[in-house]
Amino acid sequence: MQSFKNESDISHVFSIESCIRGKFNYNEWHSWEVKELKGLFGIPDHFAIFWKKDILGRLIQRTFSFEMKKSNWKRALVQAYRYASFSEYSFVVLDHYYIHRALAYRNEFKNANIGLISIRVDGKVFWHIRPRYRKPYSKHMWQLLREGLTPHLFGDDKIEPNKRLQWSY
Amino acid sequence: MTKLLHQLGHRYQWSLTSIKEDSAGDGVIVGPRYMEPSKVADIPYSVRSRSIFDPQFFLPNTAAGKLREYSFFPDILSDGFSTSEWSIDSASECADRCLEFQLSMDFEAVVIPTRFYEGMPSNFITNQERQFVHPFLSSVERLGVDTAVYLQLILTDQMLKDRPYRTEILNWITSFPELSGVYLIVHAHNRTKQNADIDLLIGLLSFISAALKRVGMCIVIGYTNTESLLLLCAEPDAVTMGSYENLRMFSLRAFENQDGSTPRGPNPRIYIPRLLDWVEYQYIGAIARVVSDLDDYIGNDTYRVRMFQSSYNWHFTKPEPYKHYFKSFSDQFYRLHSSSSDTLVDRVLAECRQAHNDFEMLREAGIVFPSGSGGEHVANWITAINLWRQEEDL
Repeated sequence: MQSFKNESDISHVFSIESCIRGKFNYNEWHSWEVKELKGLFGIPDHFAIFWKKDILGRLIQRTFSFEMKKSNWKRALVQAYRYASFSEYSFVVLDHYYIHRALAYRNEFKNANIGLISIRVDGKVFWHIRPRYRKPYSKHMWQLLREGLTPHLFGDDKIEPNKRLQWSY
Repeated sequence: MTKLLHQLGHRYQWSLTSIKEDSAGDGVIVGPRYMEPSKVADIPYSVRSRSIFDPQFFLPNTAAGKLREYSFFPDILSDGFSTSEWSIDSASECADRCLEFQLSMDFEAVVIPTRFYEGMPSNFITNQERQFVHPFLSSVERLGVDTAVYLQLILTDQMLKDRPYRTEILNWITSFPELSGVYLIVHAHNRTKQNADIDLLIGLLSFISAALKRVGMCIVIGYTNTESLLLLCAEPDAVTMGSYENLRMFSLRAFENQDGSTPRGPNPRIYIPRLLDWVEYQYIGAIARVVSDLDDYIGNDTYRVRMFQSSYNWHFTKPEPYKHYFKSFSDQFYRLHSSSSDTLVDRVLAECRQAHNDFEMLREAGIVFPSGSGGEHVANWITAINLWRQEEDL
């Protein structure tokens, strides 16, 4: 089995759209996805918001953050836990070639409610731990995210990075 | 009784207002790197008279920041300091001016400065004596100094861990009858945010208790972080607290010529007395979900109230996290400090055990702390205290 050369190769192959939409049954939801979201707590390699309106017309949104690493699951777990300060779902994505090391410590992921996914060079995705829904643990981070993105996402403006939050597509 | 001093540096006003408004701390260690002479004179007499002045000659050939406003700083005095050209006349003039300045400010003691030496140089004592100790002691006599005289020392972790080297330094210091105390700074390589080096901590505790206290010398430990609480066990005369991290762990960086690059600002942290550690402020929300009453962990002073308002703009340049630290840390310090000598070590150990258990509980509840910021130091502190206690037969 082949392994990825580096983390950016994993990031290149990974797609939130294909990975999350089916797994979470978000077929009817809108989504917005960026890379390297800066300005909060840590820099998630991938970040996405899914949203829709419920039957009462209220907006429901779910945020997802992802940390890519070849093999260093411990560092990835620390980073992903940081992202849980502003995301409802936070994941570690590892090279499938090295996933056995992380699986030996799967309780650490479960305990922290951090998702664990691995990905093969050919793009095949393996789900190991699916996290439960959890509100972000930092009100301040959540507030900054909302202030930074909501006007752009749910207004007519084109979505562009603002002063506090920066990202790339 | 051990005093708690503020180590002054950038944003020294935070410390001064903390003493005035919150009664946090007993005095200060003035650092000229960030404070011109007129500002030193502006410190109220009531504070200066309980404080000392650190001449900060660590790199005598580099007058960084406000150091260039002090005519006695070696690089200014000699218009470019070099060891080989540091004459007896220059050294004497430097000593006279430096001591006169300290005396004019009515500090509690005068400090003989030191320079920094890496590793464990064999000529450490000879060089210190030649460059500063002998000239300053001559000046003490010449000026008829009748206040206490402290010798400043910067010891590296290697020096403190090496028992023969440590003993040699102790014998050297105690050979000067003019000295009534030592102002000690520890320089550790590769240290984490908290001092967690067991051998270094034992060496330091031994240095304080085994020798200096037994021969009746005062000892002030500068640039300490929360290990000030651990050092209480050996009952030094003073330990310190400081705002920015470079005042809580000694580094030469602030005293070197700046290359123009601005270091990236740190993520704001908050001191949690019950955990004996600082954590990134975002973690507070995670901790609050696990513990029944957050007040038990971080207190409920005015700074905490301000910091937890939704409009609060967290940034490392804001004073509240540091003033909260001064207040909560000094409360913790005085509480432990009020123990009798017989129970002091046990109470410090109990505080450490509680922090250790709390960190375990938070981890089990699913909080993932980054390496080096998850209370790893606490277990090492417990080990260091126990081993030192055995060595000292306490």
